[in-house]
Amino acid sequence: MWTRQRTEHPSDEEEKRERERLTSLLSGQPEEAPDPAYWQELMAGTNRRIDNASSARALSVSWVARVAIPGAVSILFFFIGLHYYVPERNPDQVTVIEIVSMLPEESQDSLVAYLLDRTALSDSGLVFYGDLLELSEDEVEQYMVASGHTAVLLKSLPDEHIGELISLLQTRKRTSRF
Amino acid sequence: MNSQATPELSDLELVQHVRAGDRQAFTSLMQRYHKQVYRIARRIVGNHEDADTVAQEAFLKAYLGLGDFRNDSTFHTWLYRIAVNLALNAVRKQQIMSYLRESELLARFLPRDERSRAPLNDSETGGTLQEALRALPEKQLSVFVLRFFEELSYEETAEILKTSVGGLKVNYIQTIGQIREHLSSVDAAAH
Repeated sequence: MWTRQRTEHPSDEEEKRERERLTSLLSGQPEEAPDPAYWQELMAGTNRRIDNASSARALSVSWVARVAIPGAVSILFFFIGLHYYVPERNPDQVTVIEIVSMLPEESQDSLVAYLLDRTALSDSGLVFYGDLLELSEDEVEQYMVASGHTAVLLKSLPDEHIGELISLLQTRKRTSRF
Repeated sequence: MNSQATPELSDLELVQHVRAGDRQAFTSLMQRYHKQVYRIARRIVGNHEDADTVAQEAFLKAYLGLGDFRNDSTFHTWLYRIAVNLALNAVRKQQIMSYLRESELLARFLPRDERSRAPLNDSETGGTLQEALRALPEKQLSVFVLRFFEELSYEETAEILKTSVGGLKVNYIQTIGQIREHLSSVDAAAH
């Protein structure tokens, strides 16, 4: 193997000589050129990839412009509208509670557990909103214990939606008794 | 843009046309450099399949990154740098694959068709020259390919590899010597 180390710069002549010696040694080596038809394939394949990449990029930009931004603005206006204009209750309208009631029992449990967990994390005030819970405390406890939660946690409920959900669960429980 | 006139335009002018949205101008640039890019990739990676992938990737990357191309270097040295880097990455992947093929990890991680794929043989890789190239460190391999096969100047080679011209000359001469010794020893053994 070539192990000599050198630090001085080779002259142009020396480089030329070295190159010629190697070139003559390589003269018997097989040529690595691909089939002539390959060049067209390379150009066509590369053009295809560029077109695909360009259209993907254009799609992504147009998606942001046409869908994402207007969507975000619409949602923002919806919440602003909801804040200032409380909709009148239409008796024929399906409520959130009714939709939730259509969920399987496990999903309702998960939803309540999620809301409770969220509430427990914001321990700014452990207030019991008794008026929101139309069911007896025993019933609530029974449900919470059955679903793995404690009555103490229940007493921290600050959100009226949670009360509504629990009422719903109580209704379901009553219905299932009969 | 009038794409009919592109053959007379310089690389820089074509780049400006591409930036202005003329897709055909980039095809003209590809037409000028596709063989060189493929050859550089082929010499570094040692086989057609990977060289084809590298060449396509290099042009795709160049097209998408044309906004980053600054006029302080020439288009072709910028393009070749992309190709060399991609090719060296491909070589690293080959080395990892080679390790996996030889190890017991093979059965666990590789899909069945990859497992059965045989390692590249001498006829596919150009025989002893490719063996000699495979034994070179990355930098020496890149210098040799750009200088010996593509006959780029030291200045261009240094720009592509982001190194100094002085170090390259010594490096290049040593590499020629290493390869010549390798070929001579194989030749002597054959006789």
